[in-house]
Amino acid sequence: MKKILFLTIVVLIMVQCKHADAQKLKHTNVIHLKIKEPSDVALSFDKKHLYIVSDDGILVETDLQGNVLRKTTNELTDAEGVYADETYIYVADESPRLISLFDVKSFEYVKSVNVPYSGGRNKGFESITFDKVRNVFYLIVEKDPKWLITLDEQLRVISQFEIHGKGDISSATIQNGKLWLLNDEYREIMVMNIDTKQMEKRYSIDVTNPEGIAFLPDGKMIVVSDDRQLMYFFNNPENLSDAK
Amino acid sequence: MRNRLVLVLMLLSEILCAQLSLSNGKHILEISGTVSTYYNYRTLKAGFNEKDKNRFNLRDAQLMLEGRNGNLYEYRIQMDFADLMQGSTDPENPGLMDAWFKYKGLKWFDVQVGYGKVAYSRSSLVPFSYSAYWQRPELFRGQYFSRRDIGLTLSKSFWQRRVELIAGVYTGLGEVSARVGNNDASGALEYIGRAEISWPTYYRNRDIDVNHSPIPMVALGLNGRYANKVLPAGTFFPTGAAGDYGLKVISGKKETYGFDFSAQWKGFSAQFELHQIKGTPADTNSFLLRNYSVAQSKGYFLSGGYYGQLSYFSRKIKTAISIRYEEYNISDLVIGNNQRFSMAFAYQIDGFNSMIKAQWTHIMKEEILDVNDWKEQFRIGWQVMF
Repeated sequence: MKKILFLTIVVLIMVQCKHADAQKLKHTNVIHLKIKEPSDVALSFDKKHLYIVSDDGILVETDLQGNVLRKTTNELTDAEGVYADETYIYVADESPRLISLFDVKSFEYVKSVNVPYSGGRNKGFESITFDKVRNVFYLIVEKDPKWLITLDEQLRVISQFEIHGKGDISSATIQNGKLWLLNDEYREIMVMNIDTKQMEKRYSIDVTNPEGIAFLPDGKMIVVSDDRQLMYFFNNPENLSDAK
Repeated sequence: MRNRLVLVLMLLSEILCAQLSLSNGKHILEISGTVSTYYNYRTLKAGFNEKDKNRFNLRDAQLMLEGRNGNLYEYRIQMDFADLMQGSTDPENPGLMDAWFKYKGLKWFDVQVGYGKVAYSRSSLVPFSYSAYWQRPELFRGQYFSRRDIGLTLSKSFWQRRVELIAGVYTGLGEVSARVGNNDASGALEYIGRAEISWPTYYRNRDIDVNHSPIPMVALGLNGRYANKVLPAGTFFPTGAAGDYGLKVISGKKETYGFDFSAQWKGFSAQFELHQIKGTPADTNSFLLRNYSVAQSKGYFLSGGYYGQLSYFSRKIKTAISIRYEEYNISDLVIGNNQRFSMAFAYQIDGFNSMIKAQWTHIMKEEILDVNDWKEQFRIGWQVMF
């Protein structure tokens, strides 16, 4: 009995020690979005707009302050991730396992690509982003398990890597060559070295149900809250770290 | 050997993965389930010696098929083979748990048709697997009012899902409706409604604040249900429909109303519910009026009670600790009431997917209508969701 207790305590301490405390970030501004259940956000290629997707299956184009400019209807089911290049807006539709493409100029639906995945219906694709250095897409599976799926430019699966650790992944974006991952359950942002797959930094944020992360042209970071329908603005954490 | 067991528990967090699904790009079907087993131990009152409840029990062997077809249809079929095998119609844990579909194509509300949970009482609506306890409070175990039935439910949410309105009409025989097929001889239905408001954001049906909400969150629910089933002379309700105390369905008018409150912040959570049943039997000689004259009882009885629960979830040790107090009265026409105190611990090996739960319950007081042979009950077991 004593051995069990001792071993349990040792393992729990080891688990705790694995995770150093994250640096806490405070938002500088917050705005209300007129978009129901915003679940991800991405900066447009021309850096003048934001694309926000909703659990209701709607893709919305806004200005950099979140004011709605254009909306799609009826093409999506459970939109959870978004990324845009100069031609298309790519939307990860979680339940039906689709990546749907919309034309940037016309905002019209173009086509969908099925990426088979047999995980839970609501534990599927939560985010999509593109790595311009390696010319690959990253598709993120939320949890149970957390997969980082690599796709080529034609959206064909190349490989997948399991991200270990607590919580889930609700959004991802690339900034300065690092993969920034948002952890909804623990309200943390993790910065991953794409080559080593190691988490190099962690930041904590006091945002309820954070589901989307992106960086603005001025370097500010934005995080959208799904349940609260809010968009939070933060100073660039990298600059804060540098200042220290 | 023991050390190996502990290591296995730790490693399981890396092995277990919940739910599997199939999709054709529009229609997605999810397969999931729950298996749970506990050991139950009771300390008996003096003079009692039947220890048959000191045993292992297969509580859940559930399989759930849940699907969605585009944006219009959702459906769910959920069965518990443990209860089907036992032929159990235990309303807290029935064999058939869900068999319904929902249509979401109408502008003003969603329509759900079939058999499933009725929207009455938040505590009843919280999925069992997300509780630290092995047993719900007595009021919500399906002996005072049904937890499931067959019928039609309309629902609508507003204001970013912070307000939710649900109303439905049901056969009114509760869990028995799915077994017997027919209604009782009165042919009358039951009407149930619930309104919930939460602040500052949508509040899920959960008791434990595993996400450590950074802002205080509260939810208030108002519930009501009405049935007026008057059985013709010489007819009876189907076996089991009236429940252990004859309260669940009565021949006459039954009005039930109550409210529930829930709050959570930084790992702490609290729930409180209060419900009252007013039963007006059609037959003034009904046993429910306990031999009182109409002048004395005014032709009705009251039943109901309340419960309060406080919990804290520690992320560091992945454990929920909870205490619960409940007080309830089967009939105001009989002197006395029931009081129970419970405590629960739940250690999450892999979140709710793999959780070891322990519950201790102490009977503080009981009324003559519900005298048990035990005074304390201890349960410890393991639930796995896949």
